[in-house]
Amino acid sequence: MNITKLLGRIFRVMVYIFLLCPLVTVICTAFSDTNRVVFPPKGFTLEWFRQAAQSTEFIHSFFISIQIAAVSVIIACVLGTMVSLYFWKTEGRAKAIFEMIFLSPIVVPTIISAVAFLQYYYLFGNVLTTFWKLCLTYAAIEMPYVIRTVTACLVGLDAGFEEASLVLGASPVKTLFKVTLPCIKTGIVGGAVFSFFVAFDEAVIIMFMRDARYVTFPMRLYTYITESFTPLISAIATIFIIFAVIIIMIVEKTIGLSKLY
Amino acid sequence: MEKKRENWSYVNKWYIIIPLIFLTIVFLAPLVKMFYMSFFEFQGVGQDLGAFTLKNYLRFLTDGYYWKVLGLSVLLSFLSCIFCVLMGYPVAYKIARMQGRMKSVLTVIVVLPLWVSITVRMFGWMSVLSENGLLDMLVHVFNPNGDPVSVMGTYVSVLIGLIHCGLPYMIMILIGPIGNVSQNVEEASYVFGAGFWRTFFKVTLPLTFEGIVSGFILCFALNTAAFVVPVMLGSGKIVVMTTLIYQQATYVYDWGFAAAISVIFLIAAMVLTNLDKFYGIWEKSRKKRQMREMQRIGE
Repeated sequence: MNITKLLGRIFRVMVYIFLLCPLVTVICTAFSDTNRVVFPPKGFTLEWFRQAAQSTEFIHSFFISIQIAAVSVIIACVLGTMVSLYFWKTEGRAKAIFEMIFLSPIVVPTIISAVAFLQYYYLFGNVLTTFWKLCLTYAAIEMPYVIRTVTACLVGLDAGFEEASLVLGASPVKTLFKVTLPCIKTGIVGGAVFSFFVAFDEAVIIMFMRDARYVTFPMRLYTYITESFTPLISAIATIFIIFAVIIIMIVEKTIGLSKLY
Repeated sequence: MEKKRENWSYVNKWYIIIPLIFLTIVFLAPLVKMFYMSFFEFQGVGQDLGAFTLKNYLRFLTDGYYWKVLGLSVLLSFLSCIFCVLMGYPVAYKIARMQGRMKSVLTVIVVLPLWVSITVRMFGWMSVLSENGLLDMLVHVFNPNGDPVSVMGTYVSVLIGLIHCGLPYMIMILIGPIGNVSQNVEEASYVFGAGFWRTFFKVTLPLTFEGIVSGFILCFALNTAAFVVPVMLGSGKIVVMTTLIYQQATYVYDWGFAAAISVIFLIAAMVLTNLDKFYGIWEKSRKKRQMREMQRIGE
């Protein structure tokens, strides 16, 4: 029994090491005093971080990604919440079909949507800029995530709150903004955080819709990795890993990670 | 009463129509266009479509090479899911039975990779698996005079990347069902003299089997559709369905063929990820038939 326990513990520790191994390696190699990424790192330098802070290309891409993610999240949150409210209030056969349709963006593999978008947007070559094409497509892909988290919140919500508000004389619209939406705030925020990450991290559709003016962060990183394999990439990646750790801690403390999955 | 409630409610048909229009224009129409395109001869970007043809599909279905690519994608994804279950179950088992701070810390460790950009994660694996990487160093500890080791651009590296992407999802999905198995049930099994393994295989595993299936299906769907992993860890040498579509659409510029492959890939993925539902329907109809037969015999 004890040996089983010990082996189990060793096995679990190895799984944790496996999960963290690439991230830790990236952080280690960022301080290496060499021109290529090597492990174990040789020497110690902060030069790569200095270069990362001065890299205008990366900073530019970073802000483009933030913009695209922010715009698409707003669209997805508004539309997704509307759909969730509709699903909450209605029953019947049509609802099941609508549910299937609105989940389709995450059911269809992204690469297939990407091919479809590439061919479709060719038709509107000059009507929309790449920025808006990306915002709209990302919003469509994020909507299911928002619908899922908001619906999860609505299921536990007592419709009595709304009725009370209506009986007391508030108009339906006022009820929506003053009662219902504050009640499902966690769901909307959770969905928004999750969608923001999906949009920020999206690397497939952007590879099909390449545009030199709108190189998003993952795309820039990808081109750098294929062109050069220097610790500069490690330094930038390290900064983002630290960001991710901070955000994940905040999410765990406030919303709870297990609710998102 | 019913009518009155309708008047109260602010939710009306526009709540579904506006999002539906948006989704149709932005998402459904492109898919339909792609489907349409796959049936016509493609004469170059910006040119009109040629005559109706099944050539795009026949080209895929009659060439053994493409079948091999399809089989390989499915196999790689399937293998990675098996590894995810084997590696994820013990971890999920322990986390589900934990409480407080330690549980929180371990959950963060498990999901942290998901919150780091996939390009960063794959870059990390590149620096682990290529020459002068972590793996190279470890091998040299045991064999100091050996050649530099690199597994980049092999099926092994792609498999490792797929496992790493699927594992966090698998663990998070398994925690729920395992946590729902009441510890009293397990204790009862211990009281009646069953050992740890016997209890595990006879009690815990059957009770959590549905969770394993749903985790397996999610990971399978994700890993079959993985694109960044084979592109970055395969170094262009590994061709799976997703990279094949990418090649055809952006290098070869045969959009008709790319559309046809996408449709075939979509159908294959849908069928494979819904196998459990088909099995459920088949089981149900079988039971119904049995019941009917029993009734007939009874009469």
